[in-house]
Amino acid sequence: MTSSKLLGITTLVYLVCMAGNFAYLFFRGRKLHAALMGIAVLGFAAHTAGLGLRWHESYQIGYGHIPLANFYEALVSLSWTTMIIFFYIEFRYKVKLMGALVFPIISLAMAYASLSPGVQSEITPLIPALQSNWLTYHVLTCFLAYSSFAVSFVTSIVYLFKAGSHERAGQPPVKSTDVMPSLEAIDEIIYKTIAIGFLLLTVGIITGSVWANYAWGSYWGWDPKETWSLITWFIYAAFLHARLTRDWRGRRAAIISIAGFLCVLFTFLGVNYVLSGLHSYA
Amino acid sequence: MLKKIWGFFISLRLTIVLLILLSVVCVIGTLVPQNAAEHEYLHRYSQPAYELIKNLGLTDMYHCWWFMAGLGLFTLNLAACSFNRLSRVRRLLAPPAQTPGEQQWQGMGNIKKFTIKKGAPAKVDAMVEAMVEAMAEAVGRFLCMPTVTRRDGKTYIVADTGRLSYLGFYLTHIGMITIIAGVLVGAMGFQGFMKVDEGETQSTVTLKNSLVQHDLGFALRCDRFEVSYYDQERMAEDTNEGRMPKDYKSWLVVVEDGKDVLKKVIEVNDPLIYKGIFFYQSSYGASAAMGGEVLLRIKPAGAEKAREYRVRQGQRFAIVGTKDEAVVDTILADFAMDDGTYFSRSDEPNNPAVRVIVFRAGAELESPWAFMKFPDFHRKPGAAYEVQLADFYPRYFTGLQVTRDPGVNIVWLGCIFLIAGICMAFFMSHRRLYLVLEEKDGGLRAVLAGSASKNRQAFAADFNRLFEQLTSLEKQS
Repeated sequence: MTSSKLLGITTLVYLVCMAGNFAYLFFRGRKLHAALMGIAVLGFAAHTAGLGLRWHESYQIGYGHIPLANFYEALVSLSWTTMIIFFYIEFRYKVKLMGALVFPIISLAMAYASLSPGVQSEITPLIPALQSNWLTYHVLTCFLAYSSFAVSFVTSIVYLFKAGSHERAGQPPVKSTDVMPSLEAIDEIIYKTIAIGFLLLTVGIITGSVWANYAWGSYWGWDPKETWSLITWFIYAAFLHARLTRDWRGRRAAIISIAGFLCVLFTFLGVNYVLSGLHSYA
Repeated sequence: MLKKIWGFFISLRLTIVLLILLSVVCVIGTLVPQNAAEHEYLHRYSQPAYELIKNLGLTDMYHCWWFMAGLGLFTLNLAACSFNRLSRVRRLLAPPAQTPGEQQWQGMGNIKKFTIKKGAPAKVDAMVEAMVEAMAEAVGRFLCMPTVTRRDGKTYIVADTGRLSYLGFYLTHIGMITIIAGVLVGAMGFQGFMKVDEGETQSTVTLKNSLVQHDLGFALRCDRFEVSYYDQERMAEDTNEGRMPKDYKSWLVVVEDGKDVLKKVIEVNDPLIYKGIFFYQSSYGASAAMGGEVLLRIKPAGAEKAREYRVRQGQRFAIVGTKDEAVVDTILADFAMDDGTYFSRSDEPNNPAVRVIVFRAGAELESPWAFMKFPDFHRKPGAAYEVQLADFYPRYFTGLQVTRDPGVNIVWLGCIFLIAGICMAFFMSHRRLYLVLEEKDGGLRAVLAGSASKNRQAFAADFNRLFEQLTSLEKQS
């Protein structure tokens, strides 16, 4: 069994989870949900094993590094961190809607990573600057933050759709057949995931600074990636201030959350493809 | 008037406007190259556009006066808001009333009144004990133990935890201010770069922005430099950028007053620290002083075998078995040629080449080039000697980033405040539970009240569970 085979199986399992969670929106049922969670846990186990095996394989080749070194590994690891955030929200807040939101992004990322010809899946060596334990701390916290923000992003889109359909219907439907949780509950998830993401992004930026200080002798260099992560941090800080002191909720909050995630996307992808700098290897 | 100015500095609007403005400005800073050479700007922009960009300070935006002013205003805003909320935080942090009256519990989110008819007052003590137990369970035993106060025939049980969460926002803001203070203190240090050739000693650093030579007060000697590469065969075939370095190390010695005081082998991610100055392994290359040695394989025309010579740059040597002499005229690590002049394209040994001049009876006979990677290239027919470059041992220089930053630990302290503050502000909840028991007509009248500053739904569920538990105590007794 190779890591790429395991990760391929993982992708298939996540696709099944996605279909199952869509079905759950319409059919409901405690048993169906429990079964879906079981499948998700199995998929996550395969995912974890796949990443672990890839790590092991990199040692066999003689490179020996955690699978966080190129775009393929970034996508697979980001999907993995998104699963962790998904499980956390699911168990902590018991919102059974999350699966239908999260699995489409995860399946897409996994499928894109393994199928797109533009994404090289070979294990590549690390340049000396990246050979440090800080790589793990820095990238993992940043990825967990990205994942949190991704969850808040999809939730915000659902919020806008639902709020829009309520407006068209005049009154919020109080039918038991409504497949979504209440607007308040959705709003709460947006806030929670942003709060978690903000903490993780803060830790991610700081671990990056500590590492930069240790490797290059400067904790901040206004490198484009650094600057964009700071911009993202500013936007979510503005969101949290508006929420905590002015009680901005609902549509306005959802729009800031979407804007924040566009910044996250640019920080993750745009900086590498459009701008250049110290992070251009990532 | 003063009040207006103060009101401006503590307003949330200022905070949000500054956050958005700083974001937009930072975006510009990532789009316009920073601190680039003039010709790079002129390659991108027209002359008037470049003048405009330069005069606006956009070529070094993060250090220009108006960006600094923005950050300064942001800091003032942070400090003023923190100061403004000092009294409120002190009030919020005050310990809870031990004997809460109606006023205290009336405003709480969850209130339940109930009576316990029989059993009292004989069993009051046992009841109180059971209730304290239940409340400790509800709030989290490790976070807080409920206090019990008896006064005027009433029994008050108070559980209060997570008050520190109000301090979270405060700590976050103090963390930000501390980080900015650390950055300012750090400005008293310096950042620079030094190149030390293998075997050489150097005591000056070229400062980063001013390019001034700064004397360290001690010297640094590089005894040795070594670079190792990844296994070439494993590399993908389309990487034609040469070998990829796996690791590089410098054997450094600090020399003070003529004595070796500290030795360390540094590598990337493992600097040398002496007197608060950090020396980071940052780059390396074949020394520009054209040092290094080569292994030559020289075969006289018509001879059976070639003979090997290991020689330094500039070394004159006799060719064995003949009366001729030769000298190593030029060694290039990465040979390139342009308009008839040759030079080294980079500091990397990508295309090592050597020019040897052969002398016969004191006069130059021929001056062949030899290339390590192309042994048969550039061979002239009828030459007296066949010269091959068998190996190349460059003399390296090690490139060191040199930093003294007296503010860095203040920055880390600020970071710890920031993380702790965010954790407290978002993930700690102030939860209060009051239970007031009053003996009446042989029974007990009870009021249970509770509130939480966060995650109120989950708290309401816990509260209701506690209520059920308390009312079922009556049945058990």
